[in-house]
Amino acid sequence: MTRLALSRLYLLSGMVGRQVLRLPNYLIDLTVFIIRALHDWRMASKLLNRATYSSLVGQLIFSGVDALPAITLLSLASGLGIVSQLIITVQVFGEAGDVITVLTQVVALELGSLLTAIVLIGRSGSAITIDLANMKLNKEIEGLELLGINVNHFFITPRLLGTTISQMALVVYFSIISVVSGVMIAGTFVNAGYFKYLADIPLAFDPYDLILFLFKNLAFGLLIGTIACYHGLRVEYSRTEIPQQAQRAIINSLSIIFILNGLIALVSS
Amino acid sequence: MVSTLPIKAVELEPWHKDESIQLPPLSIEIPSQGTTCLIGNSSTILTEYLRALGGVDDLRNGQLYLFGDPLAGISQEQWQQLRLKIGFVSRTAPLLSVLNGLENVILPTLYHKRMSRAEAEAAAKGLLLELSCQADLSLLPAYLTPLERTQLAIARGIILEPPVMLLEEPYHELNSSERGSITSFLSAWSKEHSLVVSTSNLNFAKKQADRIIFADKEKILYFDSWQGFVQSDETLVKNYLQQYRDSYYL
Repeated sequence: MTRLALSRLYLLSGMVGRQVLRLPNYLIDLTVFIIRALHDWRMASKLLNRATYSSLVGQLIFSGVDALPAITLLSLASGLGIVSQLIITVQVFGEAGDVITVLTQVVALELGSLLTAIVLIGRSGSAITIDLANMKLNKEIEGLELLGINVNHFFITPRLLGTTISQMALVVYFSIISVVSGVMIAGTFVNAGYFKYLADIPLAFDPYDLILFLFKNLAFGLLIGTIACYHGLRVEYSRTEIPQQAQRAIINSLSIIFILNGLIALVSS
Repeated sequence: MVSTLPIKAVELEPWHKDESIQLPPLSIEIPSQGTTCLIGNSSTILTEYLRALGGVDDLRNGQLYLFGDPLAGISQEQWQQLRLKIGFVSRTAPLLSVLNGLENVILPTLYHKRMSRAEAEAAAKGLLLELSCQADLSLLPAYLTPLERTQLAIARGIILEPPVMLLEEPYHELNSSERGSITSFLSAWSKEHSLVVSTSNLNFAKKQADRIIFADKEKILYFDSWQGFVQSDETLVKNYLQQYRDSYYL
């Protein structure tokens, strides 16, 4: 009886240990993955050759340009549903300065980053994972390795750059459209005096916050690309692994982005 | 022209998919011209020897020298550079599905910065002409026929002008009427280059092989000609040929 209890205790402690180590192990794996990708990129005689440049352009078109309709719709909806409501609500309790602070700090710098990252994860992250996983299962990646093509340099680097640049560009676009559309709606339908915020908001950004905003979105884009590529290349034998890895890529990306966003907000405050 | 042997294997033992089985060692010197055919009952074993000879997979035992240098202990960068000198067209490693036919063929030259895009396209079209390929090069591989995909894969494998090419079962997807264009091309190509082919197409081996390696999980047999192969007294070979005795091939 005692031996049985002991054995169960071992099993339980083993399970708890594995679960505890899971997150650090995952983060170490991701870090090694990104270091290797960037190392191979640095080792290449030229950062981008014609083949990888084409791959990068394709990634930018898919992750950036093709995402514009979705981002436009989301930013207009945010302008209508969130920004205009914030302006009206905050104006009731506070001063014009409070409205501007809320619009710059909450909408432009926080909400924009998170919503853009969510769109990028849902659209590009999942697509990258599935794309790479299929290519790996079909041995297309091995076919290129046999031609002396570095997988990290050809497949991973353009995707990381593509998601990073796309996140940066899309978040700026989202923030501008959502704030401007929100102010326009509030100014048009509630009080024409709200139009003055259009001139005041650009001057209200703190340079330190803008640098942090840039850094944060660079990190978001890089992480989304890294996690998507990492999970895509984790597929080994069966097509049944593809949806599992795609799901993990999405969930892990969302979790890490939200946690990182919270940490950055905490540190900056 | 390469002065050293492109491939020299000394007691080379590849890993078998069942690791408990130890495959017999292969020792061979493959010259810089001509066709070497790998033949045997098991396509899996043939693939394992071919991949080992091409320096693709790790070895269980033995030594492999590619262009005079040992493969053991080379860095990833050196291995990548080596791939430029050894074309390897694998049955299981198809064209890149997201690029069209022409982009697939010119991709290695663009990646390795060997030619301008216009030169690469011209070289690719020249090669495909030699292969009698009539594919619509703007289509993705999924929309091409097996013959066209094979032709494109071979063109992609040799567009960097490697002195040696290893082909894994190039005829496996093709019917007998489609094999002619591939055989004609390989015949001409192997006059100035070294070609190693694993195949179950005995008609190809009969017409093209300058040397034959019969690989089985029990032993490796070497033959200098097709005649030597078919006249062998080895039971393994006799049994193998028995399967084809009344077939089209013989």
